[in-house]
Amino acid sequence: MEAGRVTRIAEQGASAAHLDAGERAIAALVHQSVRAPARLDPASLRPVVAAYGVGGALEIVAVVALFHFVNRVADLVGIRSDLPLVQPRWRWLRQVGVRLQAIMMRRVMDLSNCPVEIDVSQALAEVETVFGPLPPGYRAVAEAPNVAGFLKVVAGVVRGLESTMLERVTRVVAGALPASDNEATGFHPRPADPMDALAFVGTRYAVRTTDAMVDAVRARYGYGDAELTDLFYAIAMRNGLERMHRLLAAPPG
Amino acid sequence: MSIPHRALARTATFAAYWPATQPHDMTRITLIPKHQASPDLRRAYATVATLWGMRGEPPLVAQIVQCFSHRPFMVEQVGFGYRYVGWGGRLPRTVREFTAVLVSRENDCFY
Repeated sequence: MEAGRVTRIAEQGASAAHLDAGERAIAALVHQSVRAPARLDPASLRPVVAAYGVGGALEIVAVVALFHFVNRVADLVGIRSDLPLVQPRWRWLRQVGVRLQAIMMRRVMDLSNCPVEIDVSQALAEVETVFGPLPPGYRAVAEAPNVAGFLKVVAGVVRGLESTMLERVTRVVAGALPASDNEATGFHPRPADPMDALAFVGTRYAVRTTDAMVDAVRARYGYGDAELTDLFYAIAMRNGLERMHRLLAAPPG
Repeated sequence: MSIPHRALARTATFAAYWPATQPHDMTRITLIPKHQASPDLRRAYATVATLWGMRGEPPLVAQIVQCFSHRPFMVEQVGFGYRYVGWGGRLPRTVREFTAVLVSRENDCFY
């Protein structure tokens, strides 16, 4: 994507750029996935299917899920940008940084698409051994095999996570998913247990995570960096999957 | 004497990203950079670099990858997951980038 456009969208949101019909559909889907993910359903995906087809829409759902995951990991761990020029204080310096980052990415990475060869039925069967039966919309993943590959990889990691922690995080994340603007942006009482509180904040507004919240988990559960890595992964992963499950509750389109 | 363009670009890239290659003490868990990595972790970083088509030596290890540095298996799997979503499929890259930037913007995620 053109660097100036990335900068405008990153700084001012989708309204700052001229969007075509497909991009408007994506922008609406993304907005709902952040502000009211508890209300996502297959109807939320229909405009995206109309613009990009079933396969394209599934790929977009996977990007949405992946970046809800990535954003949460980044905010829970507390990383900023890989490029120090991209900092929150000086806007002009940040804009230079974003442009530089776009140029660097093109220079150091091969960004062309690669075809994926994967046995979709087998991949989904493996995923179901970890997550249980998937909603019916996942059958359409045959039209986007890369999404099946993504799910298989996630299931492979989840299989190795400690089950009590995972069940707990799954329950808290599902209950904390915002259903309105107020739930996504307001101030609300947090659960008393530090692990539940971290999962709650990591779901509603991960950017508000503090050192004290993570220290409280260390103190209560005796967690070190490795166990915290598992916990962060679980919180972020469940946030991605909850959104996917709701959008694919019925076949897309 | 003129400085070759490629050497200049490589030096600029290294200088800009150098801080990301150093140990972080501001994060809530320690991030392990490549030069302090165990053999397992180093192998995992190398796998990710290959999966993501990173050019140049040594390849950069983004902080988002280092977030999993205490679990080398997770590093590799996150690399594979990113590969499937970021490079697999048929959508133009611009559509995927547009979606990713919007999600990050709406989440107020600075990274």
